[in-house]
Amino acid sequence: MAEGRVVRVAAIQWAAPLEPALGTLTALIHPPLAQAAQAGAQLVVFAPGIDQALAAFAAREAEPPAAPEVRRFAAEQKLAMALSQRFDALGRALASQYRVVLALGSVLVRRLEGTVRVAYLYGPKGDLLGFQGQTHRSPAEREHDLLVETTLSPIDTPVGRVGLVTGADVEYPEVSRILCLQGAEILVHQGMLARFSEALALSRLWREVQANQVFGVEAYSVAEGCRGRSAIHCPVEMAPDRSGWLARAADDAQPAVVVADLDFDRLKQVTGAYPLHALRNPGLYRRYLPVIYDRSEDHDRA
Amino acid sequence: MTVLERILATALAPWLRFRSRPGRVQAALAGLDYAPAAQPQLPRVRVAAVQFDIGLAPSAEAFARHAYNCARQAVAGGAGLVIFPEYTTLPLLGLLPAAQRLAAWLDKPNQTLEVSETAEAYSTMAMALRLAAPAARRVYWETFSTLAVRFRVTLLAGSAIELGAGGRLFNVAYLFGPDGALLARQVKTHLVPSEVLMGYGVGEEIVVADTPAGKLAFPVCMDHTYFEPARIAVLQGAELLIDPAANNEYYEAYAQARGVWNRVQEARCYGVFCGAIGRVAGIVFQGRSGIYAPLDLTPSGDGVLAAAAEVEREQVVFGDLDYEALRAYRRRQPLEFNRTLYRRYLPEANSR
Repeated sequence: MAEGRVVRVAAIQWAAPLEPALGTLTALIHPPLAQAAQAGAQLVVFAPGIDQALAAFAAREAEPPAAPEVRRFAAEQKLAMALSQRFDALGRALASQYRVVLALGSVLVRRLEGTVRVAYLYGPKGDLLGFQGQTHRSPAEREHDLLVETTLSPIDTPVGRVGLVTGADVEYPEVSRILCLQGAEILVHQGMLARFSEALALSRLWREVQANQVFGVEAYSVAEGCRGRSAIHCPVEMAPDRSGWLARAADDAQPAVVVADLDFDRLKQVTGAYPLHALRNPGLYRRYLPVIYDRSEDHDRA
Repeated sequence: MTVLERILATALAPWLRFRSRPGRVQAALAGLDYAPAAQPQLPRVRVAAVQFDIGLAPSAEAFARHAYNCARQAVAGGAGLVIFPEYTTLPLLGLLPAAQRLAAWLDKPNQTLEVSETAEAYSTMAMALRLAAPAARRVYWETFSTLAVRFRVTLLAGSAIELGAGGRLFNVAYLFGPDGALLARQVKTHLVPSEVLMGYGVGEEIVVADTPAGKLAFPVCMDHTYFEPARIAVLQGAELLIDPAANNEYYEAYAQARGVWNRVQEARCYGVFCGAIGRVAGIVFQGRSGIYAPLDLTPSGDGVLAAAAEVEREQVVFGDLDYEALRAYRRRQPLEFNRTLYRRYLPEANSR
């Protein structure tokens, strides 16, 4: 990538309608995307929920359970069976229409061996740049016996190398570390949470950005029963107020389009002054990792 | 080690031995009040973080009395585990001749150094640390093992600067049991750039100690910026992660949150940030010591059980831990590791 690189990014905090008409859904998707594109965003991260809304077409008869995660799961199961092609077509169309790199998802994908949660990246020409299956499961996903992915790689895009931190992966620092050691420069996470707090904000993508000295774009759903404050992250030293946020949504309940510039030269200065990765201790890690995980009673389902 | 340093070391050795005699510490700590500490009734324990001023001490006696006063305050508050910060021996640079005058001379307002001057300053600092290290460690050991046994308390003495083979510096934290015996030793495993410039070595082990105050680990300061030491410690059974720290910068809440507070959230354990404060040769140390827990185990949901009111003054912070509550939380919210993924990527990642 060239020197002097600045990438404008946007996080779309969005409230997916539960059971929209197709026209309503389209009307709700386009305005924030248009706003982000008009603001010059080259990478747009859309909050989860489009898949859920699409699934609603096929699942109108379903009774929505109380908890958002369960509701999302039920909806996504149906989507996985019936609407993955529609989702893919929508992603390609939106990315090419607005000429942006578009992060969309995550969505449940059914494979022969089971179902896995996947996030997608579409390019400005409407091409699929890549996807990443979730490598760790939430407790609810364990109950529903979701599978986990066992490969993990950043995706090369026109705006840089992007690491998709999918679903519950944001709670496991191993994921961001593996992605960043493979060259990820921008971490992307799309979240759907039943509750949110400032402390929680520091315990998710903010944490991974600080730990790896990269940029981060985090977009949350604010659909009914969901909370989250979308943000553009940077190392603390780069933020004007030393917070680690270049921009944030005004609150955790209303739709918003959050835009900021990622200045890679400035990032290089920060990492040059304090090179976290160069100061790692490979001898220590080799001694314990990955063998130490065998001490855990928690098992994987790969 | 340069010729000049060898000459200085030889010339100063008798003087430093004299100034660091164990008898001096024992005399300073004799005849004081030692009400025994409350013994932890596991699974509950009260812990205390001593936000300790690491400004230069004029003598071994002054250092010992200073540490005593802080430990006494912690024990009087009911702590069954008392924690001191990183670089606890830094005050003992004051044992070197003219150290106070040199420090005062270096403490110029608005001082900025050129790159070459910075390298020279670190080189000089490293030499001072090497010269003082044996004497400082002697005073440190005598002080904290004595305090541990007299208060009958588990005591993490923060870290000392040590000389390894070939005169290499190491940053090493020591944990003493209520009988004054050494329970565990942890060498810092991740350095800050200034330590790299001063030629410090690193450890390649994370120690977990089974103590009367619970199973704990105490990686040092910068170690907590990386998830690996915490993960290794907790997978070895640690339920309490202690961060003895000395941040040579003005306090910033977000910068500090990148350390043990975040490790507590991802590794799901209790945590203590114990920060040094003070000013040494113009270098400012600040921090807000605190006792941490997973968000769901704290009354206000912020992951903080207790925190120092100020970031630049000495004080003792107390927090009550309940390991059974932690275990119940872990059972409710168990982590699930993807070993296949780690086996595939971590060896290669960690070879870089």
